[in-house]
Amino acid sequence: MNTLDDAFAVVERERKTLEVYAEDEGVAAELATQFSTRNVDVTHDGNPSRESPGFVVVRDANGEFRGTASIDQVRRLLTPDVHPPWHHDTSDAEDVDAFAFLDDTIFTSYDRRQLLATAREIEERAWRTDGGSAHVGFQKAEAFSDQIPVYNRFARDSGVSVRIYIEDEWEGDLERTIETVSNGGDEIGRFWFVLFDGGETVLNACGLLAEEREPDTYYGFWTYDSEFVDELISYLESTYGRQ
Amino acid sequence: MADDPVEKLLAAFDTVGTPQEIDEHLQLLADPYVRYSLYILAEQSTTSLDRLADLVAGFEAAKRDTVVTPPERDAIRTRLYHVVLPKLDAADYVQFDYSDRTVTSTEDTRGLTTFLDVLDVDQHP
Repeated sequence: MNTLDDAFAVVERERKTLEVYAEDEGVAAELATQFSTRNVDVTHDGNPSRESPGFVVVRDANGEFRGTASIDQVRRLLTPDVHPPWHHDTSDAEDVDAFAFLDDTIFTSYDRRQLLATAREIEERAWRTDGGSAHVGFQKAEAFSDQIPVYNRFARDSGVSVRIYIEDEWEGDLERTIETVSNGGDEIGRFWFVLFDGGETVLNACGLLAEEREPDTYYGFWTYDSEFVDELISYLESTYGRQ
Repeated sequence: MADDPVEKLLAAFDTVGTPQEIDEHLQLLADPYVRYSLYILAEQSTTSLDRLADLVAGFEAAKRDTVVTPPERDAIRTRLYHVVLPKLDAADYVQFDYSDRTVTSTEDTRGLTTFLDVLDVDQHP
């Protein structure tokens, strides 16, 4: 990874398309709603046969076939509470692999509120973990000011170490143990991120990266893939070296 | 009694042709891949072998209510390429272009599809 843009390229490469072949357009709409934050596009292609109950074809970003399933099977895979994917009827490793993207670790959204809620969730997870390190970029110092109390509390009352990145100059009141990278430059000004390495348990790793594509309009992704989070953190550490 | 299924079937037989041709149709249509291919070609008159294989795999997944994986789909593609399409092509029910691997429906595709509609073999509950 040479820039934060590269991370978005990874997400795009992982993106899947779900072609829904069903008589009823509502089925595609229902799946589109369920997949709204997944890294997936849902299309409706009608059903070649009115006699068939319908199916879904999954393609990767290159249009290659990755698997197909009956619509009912997709619904079952989508409700792991009732039917954990690793326990489902036809359970063999390959079946689960073909639809591994259903419990994919990458989610995307254009919705700023959704992204904000996710950022809060990551902070929450870091707080509960009470260890590890958080790397947070709020673009500009002004945007960070609302969250200062939260991060000061991290520094005072938790075992989480915090590193803040901002494009411009920081002169605010922060706990001494919080590390800041100010004058981060253009890239830091374009991206908003909250990355947590999970501390001792990689299962707790999670991160959000969003780009301000137009003023106040964000496109972002979040991931629970610890390797991906680690890659992002390593990139930030090596690019914006400790000061 | 136009709505009587038996009458409809007999009427379809009449339009299809001689008893020998009817036998030929029935034999072809006994193969589910043939039926699925016809359904797909009825929606899109020209399609690539790959897309046909993807959707035939989809029909299989729907019928068995399960997941069909890429290796299984590749086996379906092989069978379409070596068995199903040559058979349909030889009988002029489709035109299969081996060089660019596309399948195109012919006038006879429609006849066979109509016949298939009357038989209603894939009706799901």
